[in-house]
Amino acid sequence: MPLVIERGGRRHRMLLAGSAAAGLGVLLGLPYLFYSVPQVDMLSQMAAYAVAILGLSILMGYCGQISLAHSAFVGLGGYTTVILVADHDWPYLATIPVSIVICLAVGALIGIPALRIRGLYLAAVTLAVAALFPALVIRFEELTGGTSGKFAREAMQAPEWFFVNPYTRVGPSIVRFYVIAAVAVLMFLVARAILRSRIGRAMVALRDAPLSAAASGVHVARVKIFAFAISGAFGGVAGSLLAIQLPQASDTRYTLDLSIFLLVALVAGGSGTMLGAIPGAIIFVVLRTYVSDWASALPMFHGGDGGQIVGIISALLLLAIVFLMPTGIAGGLTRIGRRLVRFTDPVPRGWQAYRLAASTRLTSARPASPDPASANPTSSPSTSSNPASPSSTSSSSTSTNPTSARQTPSAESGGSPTASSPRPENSGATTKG
Amino acid sequence: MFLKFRATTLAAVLLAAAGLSACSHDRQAATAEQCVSAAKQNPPASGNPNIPAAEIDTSLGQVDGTCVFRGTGGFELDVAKCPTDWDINAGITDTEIRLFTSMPHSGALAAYGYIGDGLKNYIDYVNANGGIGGRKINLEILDDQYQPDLTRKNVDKAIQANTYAASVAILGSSNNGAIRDVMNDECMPHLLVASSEDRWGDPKNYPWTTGMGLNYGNETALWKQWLANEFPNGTTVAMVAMNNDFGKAYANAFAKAVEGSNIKIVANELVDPAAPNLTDQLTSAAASKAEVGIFAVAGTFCVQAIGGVERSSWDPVVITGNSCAQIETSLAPLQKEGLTGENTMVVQYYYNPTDPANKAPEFAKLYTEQMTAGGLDPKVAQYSNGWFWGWYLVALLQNADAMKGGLNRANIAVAARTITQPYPLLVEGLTSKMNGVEDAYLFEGGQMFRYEGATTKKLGEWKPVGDLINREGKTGDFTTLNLQ
Amino acid sequence: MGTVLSETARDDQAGLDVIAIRLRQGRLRAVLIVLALLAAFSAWALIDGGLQLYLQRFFDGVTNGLLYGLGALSLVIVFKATGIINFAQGPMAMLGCYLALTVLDLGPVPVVAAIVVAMVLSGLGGAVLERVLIRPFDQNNHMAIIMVTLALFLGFNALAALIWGFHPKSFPSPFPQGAADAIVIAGARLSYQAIGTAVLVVATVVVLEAVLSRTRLGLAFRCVASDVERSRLLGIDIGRTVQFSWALAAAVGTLGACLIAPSTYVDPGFMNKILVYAFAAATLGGLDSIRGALVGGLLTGLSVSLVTGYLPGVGSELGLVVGFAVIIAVLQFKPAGLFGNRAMERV
Repeated sequence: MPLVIERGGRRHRMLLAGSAAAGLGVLLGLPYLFYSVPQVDMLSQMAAYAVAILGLSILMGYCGQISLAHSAFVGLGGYTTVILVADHDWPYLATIPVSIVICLAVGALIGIPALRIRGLYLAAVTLAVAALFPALVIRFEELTGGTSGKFAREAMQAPEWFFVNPYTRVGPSIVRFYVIAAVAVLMFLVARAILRSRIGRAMVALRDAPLSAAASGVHVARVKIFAFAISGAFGGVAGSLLAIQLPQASDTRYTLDLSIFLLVALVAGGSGTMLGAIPGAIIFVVLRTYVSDWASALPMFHGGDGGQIVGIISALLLLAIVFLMPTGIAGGLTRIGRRLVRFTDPVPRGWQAYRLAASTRLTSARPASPDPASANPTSSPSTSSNPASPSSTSSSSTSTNPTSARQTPSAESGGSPTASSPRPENSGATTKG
Repeated sequence: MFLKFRATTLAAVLLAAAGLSACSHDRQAATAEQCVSAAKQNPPASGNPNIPAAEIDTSLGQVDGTCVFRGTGGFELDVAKCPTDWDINAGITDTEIRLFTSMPHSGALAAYGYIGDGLKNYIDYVNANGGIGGRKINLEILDDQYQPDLTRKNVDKAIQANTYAASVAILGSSNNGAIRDVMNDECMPHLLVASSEDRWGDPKNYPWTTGMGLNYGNETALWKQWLANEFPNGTTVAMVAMNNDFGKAYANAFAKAVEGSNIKIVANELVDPAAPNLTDQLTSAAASKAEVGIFAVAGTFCVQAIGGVERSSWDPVVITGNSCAQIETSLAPLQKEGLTGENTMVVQYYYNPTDPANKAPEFAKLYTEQMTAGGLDPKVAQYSNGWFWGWYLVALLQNADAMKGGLNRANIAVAARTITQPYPLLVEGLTSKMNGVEDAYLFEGGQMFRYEGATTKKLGEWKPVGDLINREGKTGDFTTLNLQ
Repeated sequence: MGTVLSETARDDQAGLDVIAIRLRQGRLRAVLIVLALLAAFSAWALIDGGLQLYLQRFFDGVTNGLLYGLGALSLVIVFKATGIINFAQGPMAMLGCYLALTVLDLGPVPVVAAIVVAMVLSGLGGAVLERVLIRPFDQNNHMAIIMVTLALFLGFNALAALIWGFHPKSFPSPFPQGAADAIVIAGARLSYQAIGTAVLVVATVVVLEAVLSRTRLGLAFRCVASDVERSRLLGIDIGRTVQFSWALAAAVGTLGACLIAPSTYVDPGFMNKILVYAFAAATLGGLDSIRGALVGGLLTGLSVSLVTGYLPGVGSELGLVVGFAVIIAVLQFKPAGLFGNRAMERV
């Protein structure tokens, strides 16, 4: 029995405040739940990788450009932070803006060959970048420490005045987790702002119908370059955050394999939504660490073959997700969530004023009472005839939810063309302002 | 939207208030119980020649009534500086010693992970024959996929659990580099690192960390010395090395060793470890027409290099790194291609148990029996390396057991710098000694061997050429590092 | 169905002749430009280093390039039929090679027989794979199918490591490999193995093109490759055709792995190293062109060998980077590769 909530209404605001508070509480309490250094460090890694996957999601999920170059950006950010801290005594947090600037520049540079190339050919170009990065690291070994790697003597220190005791073993790790989580939350807010802005919508248009977008005045080159740059910047921040968690960078850490795993994590988490980055990051870190340890501890393997079990489990997990939850975990959760809560746009006040006096078509389609539940598209010709059926309400809430989970078009059979077509209700909602 | 902003600022203000109003925290003082060892000093036992007995001055160890542990060669360890919750007896009971290691079991260098299995095999033998003063060694092998951040995670977990006495044979230069600081800060003995870089022999700055294998500085110094003897009027060298920490360490060390001498490096080719073969590099090296070709490669690149040179018209003296010294993996596959690998040279400091020229046939037979009993293939090089590490691990544990204070973690760290027992399969005439601050490198010598007598139907043998070069005691430690 | 297809093909042929001629001219021009650049570089290299070194590097490049071309062939076959890159191609070929090794261990079997058996078995395996894991998806759902191939990549690598371990094994070559088994031209050595491999690869390409142009299954394949919807309307069994392409790609991949194995030795990761280069080669030649795979492979191998050999700042460890640099350069002018066709875009 779905709960109906009107956007902008009191219930909506309470829900948002409540979930923000709950999220904050979870973030604050999580490290105390796993009160040990390696586990808190893993939480930090999850937060950092979530930012990386978020950047990939912006580029691939929202803008539709394939990129395997993400590991290079994470590496750029990681090395920037470690080099500045180890060699030039910078404070850790101050290195993040530097990472952002460098990765924006490099990302824009990579966007340039992407202008003419599309699809899997673009994947080849980005693959080249990912393969180039470790080679460059080894090449410039005076700067990067080459194959021995570079690390700073001290990780980010916890201050004394904070409520977390820095003299316990876990204390500094917890403080680092808070810092990383805070930056990650900030990056999510930034991503949300970007995706809701004009350029965000231009990116989505570019993904779905590039020629129509170009015809409508979207500056394709600028948007593509921007998407690459922004995605790179997110990757750089993630790299810096990883360096805050463990100030160590080496060429084996940022390879093509990392890019592929990030891609896998993105799809597993759900590429159509921002929040999909979180389950994706969790899967990524869990597979890499916990599953590996669990497998090594199994008595039937001498400990050596644990790593192979990770590979097999990852493969099975991926297959399961692709078969059972093609929109990823976030997509699956969203679907469940829609059965519980349904968002609707409020009917604009004074909508009757916009009715054309002579137009019987419109009046007959619209019921007399301004009931939000029935403002929904019974008028939609392409959805099923039964307005109460779950499929039509789900597709309708997709349409009245311009920024909600955007499913990958092929996953919902036949659903996508109708979901994006402009509808009378939508134009009404936007004029409400 | 606006409300959300307000909610987050409210939360931020609350948090800041809580943080600022917080208490100040005090570092806890060290307690005296940290230095009380639960174990008793055991007299050195003798008996089984296949297990090293303790060989140490029994007056070494804990200085009575203090937290100072004394070794030879000027080495002293003061555990009062260790963290407050450090337990000197962690991982050690009357029946068991718990150790851990972290190795790659997946990814590009997974083949090296087999050293852990070989190590376990030797430990099983020792456990079945008395153990360390009656205690069984319990080794836990963790996978780190050769990723330094995963090595760090494994180490953090082990330290946090406080149930391990020490780590042994952790593999990888950047992996060990990532954990060395935390191991030393947390006073966790970082024993017998499975990486041959020079920097692990640094007792002054990193007293808890010890290296093991012949370090690159010494191996390349041995090459240089042998070349200087063979070619007194100078020669030209083409260097082909893998483009990773392993190969580059060799290349850089050799370049430093021949600086200023009449041995000139005329080609420096790097091989991408992810490339399928090294034909391009071989062609470029051959084009330099150098008289000597040095190949610091591993795995299948060994066979490709040796076979590739043999096929080509380039005819240099072929020297390979110690990683290519296994006949079964580096030379035997050539037979199927109609090649032999004849005249390949390598510096060895210990024999492989399956090498028929080894000087300890009883020990080698034991190795083969134990391997087969454990279901492992005795011909795999990494397994025999595991036994090599295992011998020295047991040697230092026996030494610690015989020191004052008995078997505890501090004595283990001290004993790791006081090893003298020679491995049965060491090249004759070679010594293995670690002597505190004065001699931080276990092996400082080697013998040049040449592969001779091979045909396409019959495998050859490693025959020693020239004299044994023993630089025992000359290298010092990492801060002095004398490689001349 | 067959007659309608062939009628349509004949009719279209008359009408499309102009376009076909233009396409061919464009490709010829591209290849000529690349060859001209190559010739200019070679001239400089000859002056720089002498004939023997150049020839040796040339032979090295061509030998490696053939291997990359073989890998690229399988990638192209799957791409043509389905529009996706099969990330699992490397591990599938590697498993095929291990299969051949197992057959060889069973008894004194000639190498060629073992390879043929392995090819047949892996072809069957590829067919089963397609039926079970790929067919359930909508053919346009590229992301999902790529995810399946990535899963297989991870799974097969782990499986091979689990069963056979990481110890490198040697694989016997169908061609003699000794020091004397080569022809020497002006001091540069071209082994019989390389010549034999070249002949086999070219033969494979010829056979493939013959199969595609003369058999019914090949015709259906080309139809599906050009337009899935239209093929479905024509009544072609898409599933069967795609299955055929996967089986073919698996068999060709196994052949490639068995030809590569003698020089690189067999361990669970040996085809992964080739595959990145193979991807580069396929991209260079055009992902939907069989001839392009071979040409792309040769060009990639040559450019890597020559550029890293002759340009002083670029060491041989940057081989892969050089390969991709060449591809990026080519893609700027021909966004679909040298021989590829630009996809038609629907508004």
